[in-house]
Amino acid sequence: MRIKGIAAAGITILIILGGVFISQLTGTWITENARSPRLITVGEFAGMSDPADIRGSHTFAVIGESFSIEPEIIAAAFGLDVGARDPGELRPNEMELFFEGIDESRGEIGTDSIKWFIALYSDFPYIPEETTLLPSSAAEYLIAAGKIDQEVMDSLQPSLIETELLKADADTEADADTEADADTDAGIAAADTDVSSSSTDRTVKGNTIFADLYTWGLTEKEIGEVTGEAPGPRSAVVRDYYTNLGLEYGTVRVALQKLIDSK
Amino acid sequence: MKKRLKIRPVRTGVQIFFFLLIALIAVGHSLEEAGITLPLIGGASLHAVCPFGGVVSLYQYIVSGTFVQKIHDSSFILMILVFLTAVLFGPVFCGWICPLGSFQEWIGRIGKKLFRKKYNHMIPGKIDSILRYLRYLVLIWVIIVTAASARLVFANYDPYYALFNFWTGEVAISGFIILGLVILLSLVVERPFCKYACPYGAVLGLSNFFRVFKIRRIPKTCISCSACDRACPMNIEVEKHTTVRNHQCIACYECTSEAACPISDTVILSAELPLRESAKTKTRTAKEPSHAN
Repeated sequence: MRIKGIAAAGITILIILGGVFISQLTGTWITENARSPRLITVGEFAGMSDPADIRGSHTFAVIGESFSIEPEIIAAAFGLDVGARDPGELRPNEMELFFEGIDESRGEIGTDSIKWFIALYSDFPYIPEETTLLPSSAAEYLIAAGKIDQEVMDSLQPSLIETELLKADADTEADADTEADADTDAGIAAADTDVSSSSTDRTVKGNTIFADLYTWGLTEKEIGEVTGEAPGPRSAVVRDYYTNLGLEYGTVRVALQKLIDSK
Repeated sequence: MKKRLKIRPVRTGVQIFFFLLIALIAVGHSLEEAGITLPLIGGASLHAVCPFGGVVSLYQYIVSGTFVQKIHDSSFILMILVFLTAVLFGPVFCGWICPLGSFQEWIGRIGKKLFRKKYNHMIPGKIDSILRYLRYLVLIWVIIVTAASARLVFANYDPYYALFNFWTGEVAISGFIILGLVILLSLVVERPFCKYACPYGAVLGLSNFFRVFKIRRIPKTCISCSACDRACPMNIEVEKHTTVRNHQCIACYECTSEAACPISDTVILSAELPLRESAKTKTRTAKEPSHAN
């Protein structure tokens, strides 16, 4: 059986483009990660969106929809003057740019700060990373809105930092988009630049994988003992693995971090 | 002699189409992050439309049921579709669709004007034949580091990614260096990255051993003019064989009677040798190796 080269190439292109078209029709053509935080499926908070799954690329609009909070409130709580910009377009991974002037020795305001704020707003247990800070204005909003009591407010004090009203206008948007791009691709809370640091600074982050833990000297047995669950494959993301098992990632992260620090 | 279809302009048209499509997808991805969605194109990332992403993600998918970071279902679908076409017709993806392959060819046209007959024949044969297997080492390395890290480590070295993302600030310096080398080498060698380093070309090239429709030369009508050899961008000596099973063939079909071969129905694409020829060529090629090169 013979076939012309042009026909062979034509059939090839038809198979590829046709296959893409059919997979689009059947809904299997997926080119990006989830656009909103996943729902918790087990336990006391089943049915609620998971603040721990807020990603740097999620917009305030998406976060607001998932946790029933206006984007304007999130922006105001973080002391952001949005100017002409739609607050719903802001993203958590822009925070580091907005707050890059704060004292780095104290920590940083970034995606994890948004997660923490939303968790407090939603009365959801969440343990932030040790370096995560919250603007004082965010804590003041939470207590004024009756979302936290004085006791919680006091416990937050070491992590609060005074900030000035910041311009979150179009000038910073362009810079932030570059980071947002990387973050969306990664499908994780931290941008790609965090990847290398996560494997060198021995800090358990949202993008840490089990291979990193082994590199830092942990054994499968030790991981199993502190988490109560057998570790996942070397390539699995620690946060996703334990969250899928129904464990609270913040608790797991703290336990693993203690173990790493003890080495 | 029958009037022959001209493959070259059709192939160039197809290459330009896919090059522009990928460029649009890359731009669309950047624009979407700025809140602008291109109609029909959308905001998919380059990784999402790269079939090689499916290949490097296979290990993780089998072990844990998840994809490597930045890889999505779409990469897997494309991987399957391209494999299917390679089983039928060989690596048509390389010869007709891959934008980096096309880009190298276009740079090579400048090289052809500069070096004329010397172009694509400057590397000594022995060294060249050894270097041709380098891409399998690259493939093994990519699969291992991707499996171990669960990250697209190759993106930092991938000239294709650098070419279509140079404005984003996401390209590693190593990616730019390799892209620069590929551009320079393309001036003296045709498709240098495809020949020596492309891990996806290494995978698809294996289909040349079992593809259904192979490139075959009919010795009875062949006038041994070597036009097929000269036309081959991958330097395969088509004239020495009745069936091309070379792992480097990119299925561009430039050697066939639809393009370079001046005699009709002499270098053809067929599922088996025509019955009349098979008996004769079996005798004539008895002393030839079982597969080309």
